[in-house]
Amino acid sequence: MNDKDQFERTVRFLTSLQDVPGSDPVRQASARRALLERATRIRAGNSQRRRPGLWFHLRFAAASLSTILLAMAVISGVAYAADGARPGNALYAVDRFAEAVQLQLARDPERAVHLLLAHAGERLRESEQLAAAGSVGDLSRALDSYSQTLSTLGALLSASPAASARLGDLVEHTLAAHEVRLIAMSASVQSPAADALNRCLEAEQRIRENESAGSASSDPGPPAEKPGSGIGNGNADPNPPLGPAKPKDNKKHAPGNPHGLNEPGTGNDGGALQPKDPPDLGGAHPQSQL
Amino acid sequence: MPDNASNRRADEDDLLRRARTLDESALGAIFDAYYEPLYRYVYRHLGSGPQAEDLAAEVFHSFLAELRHGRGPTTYLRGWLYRVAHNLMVDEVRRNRHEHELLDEERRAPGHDVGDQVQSALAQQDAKRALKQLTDKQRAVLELKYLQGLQIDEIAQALKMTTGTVKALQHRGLQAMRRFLKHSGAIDETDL
Repeated sequence: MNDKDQFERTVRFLTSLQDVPGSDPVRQASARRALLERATRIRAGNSQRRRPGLWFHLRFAAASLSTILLAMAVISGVAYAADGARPGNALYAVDRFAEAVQLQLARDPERAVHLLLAHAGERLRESEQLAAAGSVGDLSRALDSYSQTLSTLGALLSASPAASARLGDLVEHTLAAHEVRLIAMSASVQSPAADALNRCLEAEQRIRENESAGSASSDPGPPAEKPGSGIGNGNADPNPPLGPAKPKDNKKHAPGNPHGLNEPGTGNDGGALQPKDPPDLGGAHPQSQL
Repeated sequence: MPDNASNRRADEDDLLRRARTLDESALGAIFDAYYEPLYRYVYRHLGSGPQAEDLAAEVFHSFLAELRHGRGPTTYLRGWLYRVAHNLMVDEVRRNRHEHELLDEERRAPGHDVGDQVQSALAQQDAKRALKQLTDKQRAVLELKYLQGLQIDEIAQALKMTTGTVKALQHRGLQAMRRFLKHSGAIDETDL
């Protein structure tokens, strides 16, 4: 027998070991599914934007303060012109940047709370304009910006108990007014803007619950309201009639503007905010409209 | 390199390129192509079906973890997978610290008559004993070449050797096996 034959014979002994039992098909399918699910989660995690928290803002302020001070002297004129710019406008990015600079330079948490409420009001106003114009994509982004602003506000209030105690009522009243406007908007928006709007309402609800819980620890206050009819203010009708929400008190609004939207003094002009009585939610349960 | 091997390598590189973007279809195709061979490779060392299945699955999770961080293989995918399997297997054997049987009697392939089964079992026992006489590296090379069907360059990738070393180990391993089989009477002397 030559070398080649010896080689092949030896290999045949080796290949006899190839006969091993196959794997369990069920376990194999399960392992495959687990692998692909994990890959899906990794892809989703890679594409999700991180929401900046308070620590992110603080680091950003520390890293860019000197640059911002220099830039402010140059851009202050542009910022004045950009104030009130809408999404899609060339100066909108400048307006947002100016807001971020304002926030970074806030001298104390209370000032930051006022600014964040004003910014949230701005985002809400922009969202209403976009909803009226039918810009679904921009509307989703504007609503997400609103949610993001509320998340920053919530983080700030959690980190600053003193500011939360002093401004809790203002926050709650302002967000209650925002809620009315969001609910009014919900009747005319579709996915994905509807999902973004739901997130806004959830973010708002979280802050209001936290603020109510904070005030309840020192003062029980009135009984909690039913969901969707206002929280903690004690003014909503416990048995609201069906139909569109209408204010019942002495607050006079323009015809066709039953919720007092975009009227001066309602906190919608993005300027300094004053405590206001919340509008009575005498209408249908808002959740049914979502 | 033969045409079919180079074609396979090109397909593999294309799959790997897509898998690095976490493309689901590419990852599924890689799993389908290599899970069973990896399982068999591990099974021959551990002798336990469930353990081999777990370890084979772990190879792919390690692969995915590397891809997630922008690491992992850019070519020689099969060799890389076998390297991971080899490392995991070595760890497992060290952890357990005992020899495993290479044949699971309860899961023998169906459809063979008794005579075939007896001959097959005898041949396997001879092969097992012969393999045990080899060094670890000789055994690893022969297993990957003749039982897993890897090419020389893939074996080099899997075992972190040069191709020259792999060829030398292959030659010496086969010679050692042949000497043992002849000495034990598994191969008739007159044939050699």
